[in-house]
Amino acid sequence: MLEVENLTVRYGRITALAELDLAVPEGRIVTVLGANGAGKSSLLKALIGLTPIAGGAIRWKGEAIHRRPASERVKAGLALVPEGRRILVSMTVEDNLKVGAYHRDDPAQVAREIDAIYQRFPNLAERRFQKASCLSGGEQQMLAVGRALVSGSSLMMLDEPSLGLSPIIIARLFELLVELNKGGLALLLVEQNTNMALSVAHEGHVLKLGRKIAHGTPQQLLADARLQEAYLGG
Amino acid sequence: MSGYGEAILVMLAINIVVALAGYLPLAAGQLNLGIAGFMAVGGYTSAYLTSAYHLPMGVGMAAGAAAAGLLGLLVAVPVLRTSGIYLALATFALGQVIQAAFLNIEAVGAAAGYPVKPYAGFTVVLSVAFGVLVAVLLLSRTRFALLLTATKNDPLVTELFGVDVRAIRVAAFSLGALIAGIGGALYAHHYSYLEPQNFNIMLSVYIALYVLLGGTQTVAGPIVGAAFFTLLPELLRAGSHWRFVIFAVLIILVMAVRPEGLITGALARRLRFGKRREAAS
Amino acid sequence: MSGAVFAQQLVNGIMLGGIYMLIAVAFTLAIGVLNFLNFSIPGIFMVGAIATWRALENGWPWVGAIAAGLLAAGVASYLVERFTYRWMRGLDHEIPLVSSLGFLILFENLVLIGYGSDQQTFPALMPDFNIRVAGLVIGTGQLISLVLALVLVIAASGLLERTRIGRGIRAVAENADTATILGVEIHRVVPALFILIGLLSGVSGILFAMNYLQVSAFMGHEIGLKGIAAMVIGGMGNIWGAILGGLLIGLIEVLSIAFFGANRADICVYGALLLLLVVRPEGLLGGSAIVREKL
Repeated sequence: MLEVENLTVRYGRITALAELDLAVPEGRIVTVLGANGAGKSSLLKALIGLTPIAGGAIRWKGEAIHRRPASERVKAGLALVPEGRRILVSMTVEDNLKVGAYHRDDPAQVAREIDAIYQRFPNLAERRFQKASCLSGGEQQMLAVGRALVSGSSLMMLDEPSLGLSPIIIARLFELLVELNKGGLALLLVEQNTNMALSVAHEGHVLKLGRKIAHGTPQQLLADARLQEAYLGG
Repeated sequence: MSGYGEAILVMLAINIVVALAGYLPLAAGQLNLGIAGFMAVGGYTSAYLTSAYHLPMGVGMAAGAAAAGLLGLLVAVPVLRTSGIYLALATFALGQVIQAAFLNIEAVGAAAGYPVKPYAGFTVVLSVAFGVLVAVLLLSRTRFALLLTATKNDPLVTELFGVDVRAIRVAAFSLGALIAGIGGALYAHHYSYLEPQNFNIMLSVYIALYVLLGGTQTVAGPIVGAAFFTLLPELLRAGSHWRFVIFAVLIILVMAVRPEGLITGALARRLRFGKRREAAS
Repeated sequence: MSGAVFAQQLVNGIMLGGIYMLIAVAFTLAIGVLNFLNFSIPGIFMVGAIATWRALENGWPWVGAIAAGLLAAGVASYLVERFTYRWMRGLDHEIPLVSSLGFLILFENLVLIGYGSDQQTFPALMPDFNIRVAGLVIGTGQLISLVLALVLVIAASGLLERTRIGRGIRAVAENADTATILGVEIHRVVPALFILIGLLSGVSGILFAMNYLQVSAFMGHEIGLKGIAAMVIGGMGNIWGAILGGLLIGLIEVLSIAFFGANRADICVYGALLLLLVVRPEGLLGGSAIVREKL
């Protein structure tokens, strides 16, 4: 469904990502692992269209999308849950969800989906008309996921969703992700929490300093010394 | 030199002085939209002291500069608590208040205007302007200039290095006000007549704009900006409004493609280096 | 001053405030969403009035002339977006401010070249009669302007609160990158906002011309600068603050003229602005209703 070929991202003279190949087939969970500065966030920003690419191609359902603006990629079915969640704290919980559905022209259906999200997260329902700044970290993460859901996406990309959350909340978050995946949603999961990510993923890629150094199933990667190396440096 | 040429040079000299007044705070990252107000303080103070108390013109000008600088110092402390947009707004409000105040001071003619006695001719204006320029150039070779740039680029880090950023800002602002006072005094004594309406917000705006057009990284920037602004209509020989149109278009274009202004630090270094090479060969 | 005269001054101040209100809202939208002190607004105010005047001079009907004025103001504001904000997003906020001053000078001098610097007479559009209520005299023109200003401001506020584009604008106001990844088309939302700002400024200019029956290249200065004062006093980025600020500036001006004379009014208005910037820079209503974190 998503195919990335030879993707290169540069910031000035610094190469953040070099000639990366990666694919997310329909209904799968793919994880991208690596230490800080491995190029994981650059990958997601390039995929959603926040960062221009220096080379390579991004194909979505067979069509090249890397020249299209972010708004069109979102419309086509990509969604990003950004690092640090980036909730719009000056807006209400409800408005955050509505902004998530910004491009959609079926308000009745959107309203039903928002209700479904409230049923799933009663905490959000209680505060739907309060400013999102009053939410806890875990609630904010749920709101960020909910916001990506109402965009009607078929691929949800998550940038370090476990960052700054308690173990209990992390466990609940990953349960939710698996459940969403069972419902047919494909996931591209960028994580530093290797064990958590590999426990849910179908396959993984390991990045180091912008280059892919390993790729395989979770079992293969857990047995692979290069995974340790990616984090320990050297 | 012809009277026409002298008139242009006098205008250029005064414009350079007030450009330097705008440059000093800008070099520390402060947009002062109230320079005309400080010019008015300098001009009126000097005019009043020389006319009412028959003080010599030099003393009057010095007093005018001191009054403008002192006012700058007094308002710098509260006004510089704000920054960015708030600072631009506060200086704008200050300029408006000063202009409106002179509209009401009967001792200097209020709205009717005030004739100024001692006349500053071509030589006086040019010598004073040259003196100001040399002073600012000397200042730009001291550590102070470095601190201005550091304060502009990253006040937080500069503070961490033990620099009193606030003092630097207050100094740049007050020095700018003092120089604006000199510019106002030159204006008063050369054109021999002061009206509060002369010192309106648009004068402040034009000064700020031609400094930014020239660039705020080197002393050459404001000089080029002032020269450009003064000489443009003479070069064009077109209707006076067209010069403002062309000036406005240039400002918009320069801000879009080269926001650091026409003369950057790198350009100035390259030119100087070129000269040295020429001298060596 | 007797109570009746004082009450009349209050009414006059509120009426004048209606004119300042619209332009203060235009300023506050630019600041609140884009962190952009848009000095071209007084120029756009003038462009709207001048274009309407020209169209009327050419024999256009009222409705057509006003439409032409609004169109001109909208286009002018779009041009400002095209050449200031769009090129400089993410850079020092003083750069768009400087460019917008460039646009103010550009608009004014183009009009000077086209139509000279004289005050031009604007034909009377509204019936010139006064309503008398409980001994107070209220000009109909001013009353209509005040009501229209309030309606437009409330409509603009509703647009921001309840519509999709309004949510997009608020999202951009808080964080442009986040808005982008949520699919908000910044390249459409920001120009749309500028056109809204242009229309508000244009309406304000046309209303001013209809009330004072004259237009000129520099007509935007006094009103525009007082609009800035009104915006700051109410609280930058806060629409309701702009309304309050507009009314307050109108009152301060009228009352200071009544008590201290016309020449002192500017000292009071801008003195109030300066004082507020020093003691309470966030304005009377505090922070921003559009977004608080920005400034």
